[in-house]
Order: sequence, then structure tokens, then C-alpha cells
Amino acid sequence: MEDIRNAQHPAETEEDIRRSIARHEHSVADLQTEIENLMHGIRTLRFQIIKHEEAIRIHKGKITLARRLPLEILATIFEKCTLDGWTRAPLAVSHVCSEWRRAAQTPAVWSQVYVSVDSPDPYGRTQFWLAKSQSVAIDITIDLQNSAGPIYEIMDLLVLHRSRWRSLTLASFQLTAANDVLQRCADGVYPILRTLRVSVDEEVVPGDSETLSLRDSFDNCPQLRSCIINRNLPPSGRDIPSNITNLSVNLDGLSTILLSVETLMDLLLDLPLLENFSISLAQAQETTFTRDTERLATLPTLKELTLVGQADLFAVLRNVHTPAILRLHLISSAEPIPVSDQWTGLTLSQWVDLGNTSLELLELRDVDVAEDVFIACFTASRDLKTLELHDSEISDAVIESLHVLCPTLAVLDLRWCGQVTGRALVRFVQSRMVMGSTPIEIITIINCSFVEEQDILDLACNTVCRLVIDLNDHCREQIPHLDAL
Amino acid sequence: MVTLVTSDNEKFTADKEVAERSVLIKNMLEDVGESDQPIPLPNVSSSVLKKVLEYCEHHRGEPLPAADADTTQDDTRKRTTDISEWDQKFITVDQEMLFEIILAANYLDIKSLLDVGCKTVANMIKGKTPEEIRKLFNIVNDFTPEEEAQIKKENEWAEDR
Repeated sequence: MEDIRNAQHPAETEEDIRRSIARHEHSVADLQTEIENLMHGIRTLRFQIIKHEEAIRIHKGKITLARRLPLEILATIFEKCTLDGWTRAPLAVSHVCSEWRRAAQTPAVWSQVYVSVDSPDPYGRTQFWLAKSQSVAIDITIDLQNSAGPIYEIMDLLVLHRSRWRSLTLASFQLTAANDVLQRCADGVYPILRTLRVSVDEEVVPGDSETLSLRDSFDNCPQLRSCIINRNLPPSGRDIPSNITNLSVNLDGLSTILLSVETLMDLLLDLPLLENFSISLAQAQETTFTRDTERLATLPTLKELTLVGQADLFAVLRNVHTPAILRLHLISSAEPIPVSDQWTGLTLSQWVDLGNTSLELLELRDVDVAEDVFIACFTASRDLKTLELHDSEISDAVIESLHVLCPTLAVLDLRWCGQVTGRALVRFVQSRMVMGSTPIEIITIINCSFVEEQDILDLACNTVCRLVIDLNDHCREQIPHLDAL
Repeated sequence: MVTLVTSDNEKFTADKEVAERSVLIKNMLEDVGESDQPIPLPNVSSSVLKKVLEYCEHHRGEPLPAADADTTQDDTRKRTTDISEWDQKFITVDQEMLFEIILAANYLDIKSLLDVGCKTVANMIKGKTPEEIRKLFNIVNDFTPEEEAQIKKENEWAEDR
């Protein structure tokens, strides 16, 4: 191209200049066209790359390991989803691809039958689920919400499959609606039914036809072991199937209810095979528990007793002789106080005096007792293997006395114990290292002010030291760190 | 010590106690008796076996789960997809490795590791729509028109929790 700035064209006319301009403009246009053609080519190539990438993705998708897992493993994964409460899982996973749909045909994937009467076509859904689950054991959850809907038709359908019922969970706002459902279950054998859970939100006052008719409906269940009841009144023993071994009663009502030891005794005496009993008044702050009887009841089969509430609930201990008891949990729902609880101490002492001496585990959570009560308990419980104390002022002397009083103690769990020192714990652990003694297997220390870093190191020298983070630990949300040795 | 040979011909040595967390290896060792013979693992690559041995080493000495353990009978209804903190960190790997670990645990018969893998995948898919699951694992929708029609019908019941 000529250098137009230096070129000397003295005779150049305006016409010549205009022609030059036109020529250059033409060249620019040609070049622009060439660029556009090249850009079009690039775009075409890029589009081809995208098409190939998409084809690669699709082909990879066809051989992805997520599809190629053996069907039984996929089915196990799907089953875990449903067991964890995602009841829609069988539908969702069977709508992903043909391979997942095949895996989801496994009957166990459909074992969780969830009936919500407020949902669209609950009868059709239940029918579909029962057909898919074929002959496997089923866990049924019925959520009545505020309406009964077509529940009677659904119950008639469900009881046709009663031989497959493994557990029944019933949640209802109203007691009447819950009883209507339970009555539909009557007059039949449930050969593999193991667990019943019933929750009723409606609050009832004592004497106001408060019965929950579980025994009438499930008196013919040879495998029935566990019953979990959530409502604001305790059931009567006559309401509960007599062959259960585990009973958990959570009284979470907000209305003021007066409960008594007598009521509780009646309940326990009506269940001759009971091995585990748990009662919780944790949320029922308005409920008081009166000690209205001196009657002593022997519960020959009871192995585990859990009382969650305020000190007046613990008074029931003074009325029970539990010769087979292995585990006792006293969990206070009251605000912690910085002194030992004399009332609970007295209760515990009297319980021990009744000959309740077979304990292997004692848990006192937010319940503190005096030194002499600890000594009396430990003296009587020579077979104690696990001691769990939360918010206790237990002293060094008592800890060190454990060596002699409880020779088989192997697990010690201390949390927020503000008096005990690390040196005492080290001496205790060392005392159990001599030949012939039971060594301490696990010692857990959380937020105990007088346990120093050096004590932890000394304990680590004498035991296997592991940092353990237990997701199910009841203190999990409160603790900044956890040292378990 | 036990010598294991992977599909890519790499040799690993491990304590007998660690290697025997695999029921397959335990049975093989019992079959061959006292021997220094390396054990071939043609279905496991070296990168996967390295991870598997890391898991077995960490859980050394723990009681092995019963073969027929039935978690559904747990009256307390403990969440079935809870994973311990260490296991969670261990299994935080890319998808390809996650599925390879599951396949290896299945082949080697290490029930607890298979369980961790399955729980991890279950936690990944819980609550998602089919389309979200497809995107997550790059799965192609390959349903026939008949299957699509059936799925449409079933979707009527998919509104519950």
C-alpha cells in the first residue's frame, strides 16, 4: 500500500483523491467481508465443538458410574433415603432414568408407607405403595393433620396387609380421630408388629374420656415390644398392650396438669414384662407431680428407667423396688442451681435403701447430690460400670473412692463438673492400672474447670487417647471442644 | 503383613488386622493359610485401594458389623444417614472416586465402608427432583414414551414430603 502521508502528488486533483478514497473504502469492505467469513467459520467450528461436547456428555451419562452401580447397591441407597424420612424417595428416584427405575422396583424401597390425608388422592397413593412393596415388612405413618379425609377407606386397605406391619406411627391433632383410626385396627393379628408410636396434639384434662385405646386394637401382636406416646396425659396401663417391654411417654402439654405417683404406679404395674421405661415432662413446665402414696411396687423385669423432669418426678423412685435394674437416668429439666439437690439426694438414698443395688449405669444430668448420697449410691452399686455426671459438684475424694467402691467401673463421663481436679482423675486412672483391677476404658471430660492440659497429657500416657466427635452426643451443640480419652 | 496387588499391578502391604476388615481378603487368607503369596485384587485400582486401606487403618480394632444387622428395627429411629465426622471427611472425594469406593467396598465386602458410601450418595440425592439428580450425576433421561406416560401418572403422588 502506498504511503499516502509522504507521497508527493502536486498535480493531484480532487477527483483523483476521491477515487483513491473510494478504492480504499472498497478494500476495507472486502477485508470486513473476509473477517465476517472467518468469524462465521469460527462460529461454525465452535458450534461443532459444543455439539461434540454435548454428545460426549450424553455418552458419558450413559456409562456414568451413578447408573452402573449394581442394582442392589442403588436399592440400598434408595432405601436409606426413605428410612430417613424422605418418603417420596421411591417416586423421585424411579423418575431419573431407566436403570434407577429398575433398581427402585425392589420392594424394600417402598417399605415406608406414608399416608397424609390432606394430600391429593391418598387412597390411590397408599394402594400404589402397598402394591410396590409386595410382601416386605412395612412401616406405616399416618398423618391425620386436622381432617380425617378418606381415612376409613385407607385403614380398611391397610389392615388387609396387617401381616406385614412392622411399625405404626400415628400423628393426629384430635384424640377422637386417633381413636377412630386405632379402632379400625382391632380384631386382627399383627404377627410382626414391633413398634407403635402415637402423638396427639389436642390437650385433654384428666377424666375427660382421655383414653387412648391401644390395647383393644393391638392385643394380638406377639412381637410388639415398644410403645411411644406423645400427648399431655399419661396413658393408663389398661390402654397399653400388655406384652410390651419398652414404653416411652412424653408429656409435652402446656396446660396445667396434676400428675401423681399413684397414676404412674398403676401404669407400671399393668405392664408385667416392662424392661425399659422412660417418662419425660421436659416441656410440661406447668405439670406438677404429687407423691400421694406410700405404696411400694416391685417391678421385677425393669432394666432401664429414665426420668426427665423436675425433682418432684424423681420421687417415684421411693416407691419402686427394681431388683433387675441396670440403668438409671435422672435428667432435670429445671434451671441448674449451684447447690446439691437435697430432695433428689434423699430420693436416691431411699431408693438405694430399698435394695436397688444392681445398677451398671448411672446418669445424673443437671442433677447434683451431696457427697454422702454419692457414697451411699456407689457403696450399694458394686457392679457399676458407667458413671455419667453432667453439672455436678462431685469432689476429688468421691472420685477416688470409686476405685474401692465400684471395682468394675470402666466408663467415666464428666461434664461441667466444677470441683473435680485433673490430678484426682489421673490418680484414679492410675490406681486402676495395677494387675487385677478393671482398667478405665473411656474417660470423657468436657468443660471441667480444674482439669488442666497437663492432666489430659498424663491421662493420655496411661490410656489410649482418641479425639472423638460424636454426632449424637447430647452436649454436641453446646460444647466448644470435646476431649475424650 | 499382607501383600495386595491392584488391577494396575501396584503392590500394597498392610497389617493383617487392617486387611482383614475386608471379608473377601479374610476368607482368602483363611483359604490359603500361612503364606507370603500376594493377594490379587483385579477389580480395585491403586488409587482406590489406597483410600480403602486408609479407611480400614482408621477403623482398625473396631467391632465388625453383623452381616444381617437390621437397622429398621431400631425403635429410637436414629437417622439412617448420619455419618461420623471422620468418615465424612474421608468420603469427601470427587464423584468418580466416591462410586469407585462404593464398588470396591462391595467387592471387598467391607460392610461399614459400603454403608458410608451409600449414606453419602443418599444424602446427596435426598430432597432433590429427578431433574436435579440427573444434573448432579450427569445421568441421561432415557425413558421410553410409555415409561414417560406412566411417570406422569405417578407424579400425582409426588407432592407429599
